[in-house]
Amino acid sequence: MIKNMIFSIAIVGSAHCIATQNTPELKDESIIINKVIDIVSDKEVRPKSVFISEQLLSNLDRYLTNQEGEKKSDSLSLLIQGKWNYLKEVKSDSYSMAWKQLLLSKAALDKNHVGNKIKADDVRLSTVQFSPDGTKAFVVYSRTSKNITQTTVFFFFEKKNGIWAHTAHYIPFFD
Amino acid sequence: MKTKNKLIPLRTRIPNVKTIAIILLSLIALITSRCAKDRLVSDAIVSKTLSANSPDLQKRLEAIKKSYEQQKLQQKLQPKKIDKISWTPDWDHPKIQVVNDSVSYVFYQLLGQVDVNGKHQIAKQINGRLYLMVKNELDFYKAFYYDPKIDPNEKINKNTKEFDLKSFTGNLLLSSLQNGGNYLLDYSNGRLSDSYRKKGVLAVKKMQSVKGTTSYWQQECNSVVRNCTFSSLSPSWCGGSVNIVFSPTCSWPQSTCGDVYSLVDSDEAVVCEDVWYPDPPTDPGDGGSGGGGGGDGEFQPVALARTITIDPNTRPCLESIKNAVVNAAEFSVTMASLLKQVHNDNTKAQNAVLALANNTNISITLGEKTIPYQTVTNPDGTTSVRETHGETDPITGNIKLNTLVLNEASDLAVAATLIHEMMHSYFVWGANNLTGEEAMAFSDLNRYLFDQEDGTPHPYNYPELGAMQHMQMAETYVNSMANILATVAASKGIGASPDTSISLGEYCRDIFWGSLQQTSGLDAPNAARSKANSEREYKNQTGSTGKNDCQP
Repeated sequence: MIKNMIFSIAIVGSAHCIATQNTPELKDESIIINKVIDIVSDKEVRPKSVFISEQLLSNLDRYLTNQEGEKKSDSLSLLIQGKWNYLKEVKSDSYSMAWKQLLLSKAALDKNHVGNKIKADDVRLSTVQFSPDGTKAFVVYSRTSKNITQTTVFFFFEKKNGIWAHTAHYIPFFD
Repeated sequence: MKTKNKLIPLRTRIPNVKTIAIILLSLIALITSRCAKDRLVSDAIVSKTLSANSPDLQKRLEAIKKSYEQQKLQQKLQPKKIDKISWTPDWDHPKIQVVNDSVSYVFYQLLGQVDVNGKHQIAKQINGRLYLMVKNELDFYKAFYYDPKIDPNEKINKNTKEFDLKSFTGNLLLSSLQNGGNYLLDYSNGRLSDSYRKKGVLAVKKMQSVKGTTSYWQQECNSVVRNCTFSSLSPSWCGGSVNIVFSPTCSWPQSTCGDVYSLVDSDEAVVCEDVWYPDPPTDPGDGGSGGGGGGDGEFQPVALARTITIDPNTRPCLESIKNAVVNAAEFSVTMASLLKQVHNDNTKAQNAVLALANNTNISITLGEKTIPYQTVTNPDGTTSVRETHGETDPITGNIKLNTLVLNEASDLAVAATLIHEMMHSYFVWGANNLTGEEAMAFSDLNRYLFDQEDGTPHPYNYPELGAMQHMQMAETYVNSMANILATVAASKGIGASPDTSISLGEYCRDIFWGSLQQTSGLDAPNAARSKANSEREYKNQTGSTGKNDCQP
C-alpha cells in the first residue's frame, strides 16, 4: 500500500517536472546549451547531461568589473557594449547556489566517435541570460576538474528567423 | 651390376627430405633469431642510453641523485680551507647530452653556496665554472671549465660577469670523484679543439702498438694543473653578489671596489695530458635539457624591461618585484627555448624574443584589482574556494594581480604569480601584435603547444585554450619558471629554501605547482609538499620568505 503511494507520488512528481520543462524559455535554454556542448565537445564524446547554476554568472561580474572606467575596442567588449548591453544589468549580490541537471539530446556524432568522454560533472554552465525581447542569449561555460575551474568561456547567441544561432564565444581571462 | 639398393625408393627418401627440410628450417630459424636478437640488442642500446627523450628520464635522474648521495660524493666537493662555502649540484636543471649515440652525459651546475650571516647565498662564479658531470649514469666527475689564458692581473669590477660557457674556449679539467683520475680536455669555440682531436687518433694508434695495454693514460701522467679558489665571502661592493673567483695561476684577485678575497680552496691535479678521454663531452649547454626549456648556453639573454608598464593605479612597490622578474636573464632564455621547440631554429627563436623585447608599440600593462575569493557550491554538495592570484587579458595581454593576493602573499609568491601571468601574456601578445616570421613563431608556438589535429592553429578563443596553457606549463616548462623565480629570489637576497628538506629551486617549483596542480588538472611531483609550500608563501605563513616590498 505504502509502496503504491510512493510510486504514485513519484509519477506525479515526474509529470510535474516534465510540465515545468515545457515552458518556452527552458526549451530555448536547452537548445542553446546543446549548441554550446556541440562546440566544446568537437573532438570529444559529449556528456549525457550537464549541470547548470546561476552562480557561474559571477564570472561575468568579474569581467564587467574590469571594464569599468576603461574604453575597450575588442570584440568581446563591443558585443557587451552593443546588442548584449542588457548583460550589464545582470549583476547580483547573491546568485543562487542551486544546481539543476539538464539531459542533453543525443548527437549523431556520438556514434563511432573516438575521443575522450567528457564527464558530466566537469561541464558546468550558468543559467542562460535572455535579452528582454527574447532574441539574444548569453551563457557562461566552465570546464572543471576535481571541482576546480580550468577554463571559462562566454557564449553569445542570436535568434534569427526563429532559430538560435551561435554568434561568438570568447575567453574573458586567463587565470 | 646394377643393384637395387642404389635405387632408393621415394618412401625411404622422404626421411632425408625431412632431414634437409628440418636443417633448412633450423638455419632459417637461427638466422631469424639472430636478426631478431640483433634488433633487440640494438633497441636495448638505444633505450639504454639516457637522453632528454628517455621515457624513464625522471626515474633515472633520481637514481643518479640517489647514487651520488649513497656514495657520499658531496664530501669530495667541499673546499679544504674553509667551511663557509659548499658546492651543491643544481639537481633541478640537468643538462643531458648523448655522444656517439651510446654515451650519455648529465651535467649539473655546482652552485656555490656561501654562508653570509647564517643565510645561504648563491655565489657568482668568475673565471671558471664548476659542474658535476655524470657519465653513463655511473661515473661521477667534478668538471671544471676555465680559461687558462685569463689575465691574472685583471681586476674585478662592476662589469665583471659570471664565466660564460657560450662558445667555450679553454680547458675542461675532469676529476673523477670515485677513483681520483684526472683528465684535461681542450676546447675551441664550444667544440673539442683540433689539437685534442689529434690526440685521440694518436692514442688509438699507440694503444694498438703497445700489446696488452688497455689503459694508455697510465704511462703519461706527469703534468700538474693548479687551481686556486678565492671568495669575497660576503656581498661584493661590485654589484652586490658574493663572488667566487677561480685562478689557474693562484694569483690573488684584485678588485677595483675594495673587496677583500680569501683563499677558500686549492688543488693540484696530476693530469695525463696526452690522454684521450673516451667519447668526450661537448659543453654543458649542448644537447638539450632534461628540465624542459633549458639550454641556457644557446641564447643571449634579452632585456624585457620595456615590455611591461605599471598601471598608475597600482601600488608602487610592485615595481621592484616586476623589475626583478623582467631583469632575470632566464626569462628571455626560457621564452627562446620554448619558441625553439617548434622549428628547432635558434635564430628564429632568438629573433622572435628580440622582436617582442624591442617592439616600440609594446604596451602590456601590469595592474591590480580585487578578485574576491569565491566559495562555490559544487553539484555534489561540497564547496570549494576559488582563489585567483591574477588574470591576463587574452587579447591585449594586460595583467592584473589580485589585490587580495598582493595584500597577504610574500614577495616571492607575488613574483611567481607575475611570472605565470607573463607567460600567458607574452604568448598572446606575440601572436596578436608582431608581424612576419616573429609573429609566426609565436602563432606556431600556440599551434605546437596545443596540437590541433588538422595542423592549423587554435583560434585565440578556442574554449580549452586557458586549460591547455596551464597543462603546457605543467608539462613542459614549470622547471624553467622555477629557475626564473630562483634567480628573482637570489636578487632579493633569498639564498636558501625555507623548507630545509629541498633546494631553493625545488621550493620555487613547489610554489608554481601549488596552483598548477589545480588549474592544469595534472598531478604535482609531490602534491602535498607543494601545496604546503605554496600556501606558506601565498598566505605568508610562519617561515615564509616574507614580505619586504609590498606591505598591505
